[in-house]
Amino acid sequence: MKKILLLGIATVFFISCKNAEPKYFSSSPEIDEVKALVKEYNAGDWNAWMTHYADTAKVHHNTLEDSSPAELLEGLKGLLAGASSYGFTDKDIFYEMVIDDEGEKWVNFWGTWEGTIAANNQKLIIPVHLTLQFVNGKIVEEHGYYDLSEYMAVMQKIESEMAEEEDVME
Amino acid sequence: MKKILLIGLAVTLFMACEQKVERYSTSGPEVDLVKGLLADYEKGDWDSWQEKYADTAIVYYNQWDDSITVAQSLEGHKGTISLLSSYGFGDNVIYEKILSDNGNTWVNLWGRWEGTLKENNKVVVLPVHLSVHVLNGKIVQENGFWDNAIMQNALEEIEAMKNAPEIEKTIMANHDKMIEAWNNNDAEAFKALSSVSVIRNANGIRQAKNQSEYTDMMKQFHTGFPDFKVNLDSYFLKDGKSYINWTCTGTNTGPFMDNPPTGKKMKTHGYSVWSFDSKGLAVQEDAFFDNMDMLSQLGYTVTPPEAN
Repeated sequence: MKKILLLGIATVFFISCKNAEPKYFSSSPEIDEVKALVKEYNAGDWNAWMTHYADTAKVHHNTLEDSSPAELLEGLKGLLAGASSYGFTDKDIFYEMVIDDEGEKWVNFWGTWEGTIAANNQKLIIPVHLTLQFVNGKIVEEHGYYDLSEYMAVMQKIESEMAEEEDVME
Repeated sequence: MKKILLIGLAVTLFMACEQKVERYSTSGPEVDLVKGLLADYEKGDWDSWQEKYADTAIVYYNQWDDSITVAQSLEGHKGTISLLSSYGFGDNVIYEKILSDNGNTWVNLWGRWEGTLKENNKVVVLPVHLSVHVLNGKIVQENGFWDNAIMQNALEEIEAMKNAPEIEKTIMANHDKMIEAWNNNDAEAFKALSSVSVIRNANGIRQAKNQSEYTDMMKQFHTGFPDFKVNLDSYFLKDGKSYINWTCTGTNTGPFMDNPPTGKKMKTHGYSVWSFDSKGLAVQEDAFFDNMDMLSQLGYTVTPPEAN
């Protein structure tokens, strides 16, 4: 009887151990993928950057509308066109991965974007959060959260200064 | 002997279990605390909201270096809310609780914030991420990430509207109504916004020369793409004309231009110059877009001509 009880207890522990599969990771192949993605973004190596996305990936940066990685790239290039230098710094950069209750793998990234606007040499620092879902080593969904208001204000100021200069020339 | 072995096995398994502390979950008192925080925020129950923070709590909104206090954060929220007739996150917020490598408990959430501006009833939608450090049942740090530019643009639009001459105000208001008419395939609404002999040129070719022809063309899109939507991305007004960047989306589940449905989705960007009369009614649209791009998304291909 005791033996059965013990076996029972062992079984219960075994099952609860099975349930307690790790769901939080501070390192994983998927985190390495995001690290590479950030590095390639910094280097402007867009061909390599694009390889991390599945063909059908849906990305959303500051919007709920679906975009393709190609559309995101177009948007990012547009934002970066006015910058003389840019990139994520090593400061305040944090990666983690969770496996959620649906068994989905999500990498969370918190970083600091730093860039200089070419027209007036103004430096901008923008905290960025990305959350990226991976399936078979590829990004299938990505959500980006960051504040572009300072960037927009700088761009508007440059535009209005340029318009004023044109008026003077006329 | 067997018994000892079994006991040994049980102990080993138990210890292995002990080491696997749950580091991710979607429930628990910390998650409930943050859910309560959002509920208080939505109700405007600021006493209850404030109680959820530790006295020394620091708040970072779109910042890493310059923190604000909870009182300053509250002041900011109240300032924004004073411009709104309604606001909130709704039910579709995703929560998780994680235990970081250094043993801190963080609750992360991802939500869709929506607010309606009192001034013009415009709905502003912001995707929001909050990361909240909870210690001993109180929030000690909060980091928030969202794009303030979206709200600023909406507020600038209100300012522009206030300062604009009367005719421009009408045109700006008619933009939104025009988009609505397009999206709802509402011929009557379109007719109320345009002159009887409204013209549409697509890539320089006359497509419609009166309201009926224009609304027939609208109908053609909705037949081919029952979920057809057009979004006004940006515009500027000058001398009674409006210069608009737009994006169209739809799924081709109906016959389009005498062709059978392809079942495929399309998304295409275009540019329209709208001219208005002195009453603000639309008299002409000159639309420019890449038809080939749309058709190739639907699977159409171009066959090169045979060589001579």
